[in-house]
Amino acid sequence: MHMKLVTLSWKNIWRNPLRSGIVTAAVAFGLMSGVFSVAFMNGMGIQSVSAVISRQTAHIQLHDSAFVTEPLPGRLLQPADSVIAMAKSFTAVKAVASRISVTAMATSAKTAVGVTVKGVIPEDERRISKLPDDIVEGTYFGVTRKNCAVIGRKLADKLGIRLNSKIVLTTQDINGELTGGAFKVVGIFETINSMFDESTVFVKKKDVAGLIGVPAEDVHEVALLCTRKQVVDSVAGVLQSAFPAVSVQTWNEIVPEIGMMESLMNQMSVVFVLVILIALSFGIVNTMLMAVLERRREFGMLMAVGMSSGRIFSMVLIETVMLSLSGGVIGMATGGLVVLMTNKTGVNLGMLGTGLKAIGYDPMVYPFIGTFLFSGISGMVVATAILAALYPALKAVALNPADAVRSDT
Amino acid sequence: MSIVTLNEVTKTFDGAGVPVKAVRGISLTIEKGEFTAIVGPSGSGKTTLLNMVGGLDVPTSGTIIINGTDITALKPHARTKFRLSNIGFVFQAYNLIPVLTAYENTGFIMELQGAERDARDKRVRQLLGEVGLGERMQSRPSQLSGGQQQRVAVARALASRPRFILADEPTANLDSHSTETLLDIMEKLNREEEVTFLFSTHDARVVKKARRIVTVEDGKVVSDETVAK
Repeated sequence: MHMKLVTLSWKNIWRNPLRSGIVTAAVAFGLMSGVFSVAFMNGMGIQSVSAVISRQTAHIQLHDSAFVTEPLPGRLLQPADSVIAMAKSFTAVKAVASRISVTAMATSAKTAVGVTVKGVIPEDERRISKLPDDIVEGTYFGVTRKNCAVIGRKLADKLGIRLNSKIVLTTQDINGELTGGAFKVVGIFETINSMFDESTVFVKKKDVAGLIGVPAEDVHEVALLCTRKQVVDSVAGVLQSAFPAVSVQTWNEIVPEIGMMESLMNQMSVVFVLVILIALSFGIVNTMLMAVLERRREFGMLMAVGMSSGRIFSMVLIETVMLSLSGGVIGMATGGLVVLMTNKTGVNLGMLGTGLKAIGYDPMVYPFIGTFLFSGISGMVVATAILAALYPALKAVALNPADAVRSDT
Repeated sequence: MSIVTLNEVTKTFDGAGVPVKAVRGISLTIEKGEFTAIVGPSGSGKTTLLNMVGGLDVPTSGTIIINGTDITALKPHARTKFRLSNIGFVFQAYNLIPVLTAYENTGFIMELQGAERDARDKRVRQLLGEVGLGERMQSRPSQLSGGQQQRVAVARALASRPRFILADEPTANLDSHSTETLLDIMEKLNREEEVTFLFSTHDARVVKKARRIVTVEDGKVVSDETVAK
């Protein structure tokens, strides 16, 4: 009887093809939108994190403990060679870069701006950062001259300078004395984070080392890029154990707001889907209640001839679940397809571009939804279908067969 | 042999705090092979009586014994199960399942009973043939006339081999020709296969065919005639 009940339930759904079709379409559309929205927000979060890791923080940074709270030039990372050697020995670490980092004033003829100067070794940076890909004018240290700088487009605009212009970087040396130097802008970059573009200047490590009076081998910061995000915490843990006096920070600790935003966006998207499902479930309950009331006489007959209330309950339950899942499956499938397509093409938020860049989000979003999230949403659909089925099914079995069998409907 | 025995059956409804006695102490016996019509005006208690005989309602007092089982003592779930195996129903409004064919509707109760597919198929084909619908097995109710639908309903009621068939105004929605055809079929089944029929009816044509007429008025049996045929 079980298979027959399923077949009967399926046939019952399509007694009123228009009504069932509308409900199915509504569920499908709602879910397609939900899946796409989740993927969109998820994609934004992933891109944001990826951008921060690939351009700003890498996966892990090591500093002198005191440098983290007060980044003075004299707070050099010790023992830098040992830290670098150990980091390079890990198979889970893809690339290592050492940097000097100082705060400075960048001055042009027009104005002066407070910046962070990162002294880098360009060959190492190319392995750890995608910033060289963001060069829009000039090169990423493609010249051999001394005292060259790579700055962001936003900073260049603020300083009122162009490629090959000179800026003066003024900072403190290791003894606390004011020092400065003129740097030629050989490259201009533009990332999705306009705040970063406005506040960071890259120069060669040996040039800024000379400026602040430390040997070229000295280091304030060692940055690590791991093979995958999942190993970051364990690598950081091992390094911290090996060098307890050193501050070892993961990207999540350096920019916790980014991780929190990603997590928040995921939670919000789940809530969003839940709201869609609750709204859709009202429609489903309404449709099935109408169907139960329209079939009072039929249910009365079924009870009269000896169909148990358990079977009637199951039949209505199966009908409701099937109706919900018809739309659910179509919605999930089309949503998944739309996500696959837009993941390739991207979704250009164009008009919102400037605003998004200001908070570190790429206006070109590539929606993405992983298996876990997709399965989670599918589970929510099934759960909603079952819950939506309960009330109509209970109404059906609550009918009095003697009255129902003689009713007008 | 008694199929149904009613002992001082009463039914009182609480209508807005005022008790209404729909059935007042009816005692009645239905024997195997009877073709009995229960007649009476609207409000006589006829429908209430039939609901209780069919196990769809329980009396306020009294007992109803069907084939040795006191159905008034059964819990609702047990009564449902009892109806499945013992009582066949034919309704005024046919009450076929619209999404199933005549074949599927006829075999529906046998499926509920868990009958084997081959046995079910054989019985369904035989019954649909007996009611003259052997060629219309794959038709849905919407493709059948009212009379044809009611014949499918009769076949369905018979399929599960019940102790008796309860027919509640089975001809009310039929034209004369369909009524005659239906009654002829029921009479034939009663005569040749000793199927017991208990009708509730206003239809004079049904009363004319009946061999026993029980008249109910104001919740009581006012006459109980056996008609010689």
